[in-house]
Amino acid sequence: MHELGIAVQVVESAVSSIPSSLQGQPVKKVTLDIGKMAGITAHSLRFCFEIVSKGTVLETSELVINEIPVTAKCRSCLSEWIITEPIFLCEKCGTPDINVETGRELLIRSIEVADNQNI
Amino acid sequence: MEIEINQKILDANDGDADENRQMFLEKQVFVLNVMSAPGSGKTTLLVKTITRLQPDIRCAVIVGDISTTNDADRLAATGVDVVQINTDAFGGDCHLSARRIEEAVATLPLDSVDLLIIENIGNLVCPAEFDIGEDARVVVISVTEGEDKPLKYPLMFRVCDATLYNKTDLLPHLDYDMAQAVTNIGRIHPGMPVFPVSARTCDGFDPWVAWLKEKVCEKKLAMNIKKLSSVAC
Repeated sequence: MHELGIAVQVVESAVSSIPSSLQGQPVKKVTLDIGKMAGITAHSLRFCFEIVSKGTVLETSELVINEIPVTAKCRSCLSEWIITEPIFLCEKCGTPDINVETGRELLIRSIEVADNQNI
Repeated sequence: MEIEINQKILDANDGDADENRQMFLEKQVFVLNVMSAPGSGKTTLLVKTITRLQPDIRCAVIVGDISTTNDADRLAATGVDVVQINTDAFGGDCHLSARRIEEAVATLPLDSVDLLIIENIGNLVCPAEFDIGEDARVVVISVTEGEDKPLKYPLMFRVCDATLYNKTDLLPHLDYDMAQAVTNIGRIHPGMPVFPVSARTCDGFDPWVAWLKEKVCEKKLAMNIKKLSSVAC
């Protein structure tokens, strides 16, 4: 629901990460890690990104979203599995003593900037 | 050219939340973030809870709404300080951010507050994502909502420390499977306390108020022990 704010943050972070030698060069690709339990809808984020990147060096960039599954590890029997429905009990031994390892990521991983042809 | 960034998108909010947490620690204020869907009875529940806590535990409230000051007016009638945050008159933010809390807190006399209650914007999705520097989070759900609501909003029930199950006075009039709903919560957040309450009749308030009082006192005690031990050194 707050994808617009997230898109604004992505554009700001990406723009501020471009080294001075590549200022003004178009960004070709932006890669994000978004956990399945991060409360973000990929298609809404793409829609918002398209709007907020207009007029910036990210305007023509491809937005790559790596969806990170919700994974857990049992502290008792040490088994690891992917959580696909909202049940946070160990698949093997049924204990609630589990660690949620991944699935809440909301990360800007990298950007790819077009090489400066004039250098 | 590929440039590695590896930065959390909500870094700015998390930084603000850490600053809030530090300020609340210095002021020895316990902060409770109360979240729910619209209409589950947060405001009535808080009015009744505050009436039970005052004057032993001195309360203040920050209330977030997209629009109107109706909730703030109802809370202010208890005599405590209330700050209203409106995100926008025609549909603004879906959550309160740490920065909004920092701004709102500036107008509160924190030195004479033990418990700061933050009534978040009615929404079971986004507020779960935003750390605002709180000590505990509770979610309010009511028996007029579906038994499967916890399953539909797992993150909210996962990140909260307790569930308040409101409007239990309506149970005799409904075909509501409370046991199923509580089982669903137990699957998402095993061991989380669930307090069935009626904000209208105050039924079930004792265990809830006792839980909250204990949390507030624990923080005060921990801070005072820390202060004493630093003096002793």
